[in-house]
Amino acid sequence: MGTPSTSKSWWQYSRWITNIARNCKITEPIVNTFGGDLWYIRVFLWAIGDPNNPNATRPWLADKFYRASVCQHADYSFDIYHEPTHVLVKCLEVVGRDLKKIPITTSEAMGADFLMMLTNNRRYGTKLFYGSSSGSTVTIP
Amino acid sequence: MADKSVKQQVARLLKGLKEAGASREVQDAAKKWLETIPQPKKK
Repeated sequence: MGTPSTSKSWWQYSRWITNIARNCKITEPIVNTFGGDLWYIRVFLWAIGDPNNPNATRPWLADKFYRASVCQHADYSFDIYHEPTHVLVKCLEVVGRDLKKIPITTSEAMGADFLMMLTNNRRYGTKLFYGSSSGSTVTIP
Repeated sequence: MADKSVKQQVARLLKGLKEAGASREVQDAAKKWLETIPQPKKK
């Protein structure tokens, strides 16, 4: 599914996406942050591993998405449209860990780049979203 | 959602973005990105 990128480091993408997820556990994003722009997390997750999407780029993640589901709307069978934020964050972590397994495709990288743009510094271990006591304070340029 | 086609699901997601108040830029980028994801070839 898709062409693996020859220039993007999938390990680095894995770190970034996992870090965004970890960060979002500490300061949960309000999907209306930046005027609703973070709703995009749903679009990202849907394209990567939503069990209802037959064209998902990583369909083996569907099982984990199912297990994370808490939404009664679809009888707990995962409905990206209605899942609460903490479930989306869990799924983002699942995707982040999975990215390390195989090379990221160019289209996946494009979606991840856009997510990182919307989440500002969340992918770094900086203080802004980590609160005062948790997370690394290492400054990454 | 499971009984909806891919096209319907995409439309629903883009509608959701719009309703959540996402900026025009984000809506367009999401739409454009979803189009870049390769679809399986029809048999």
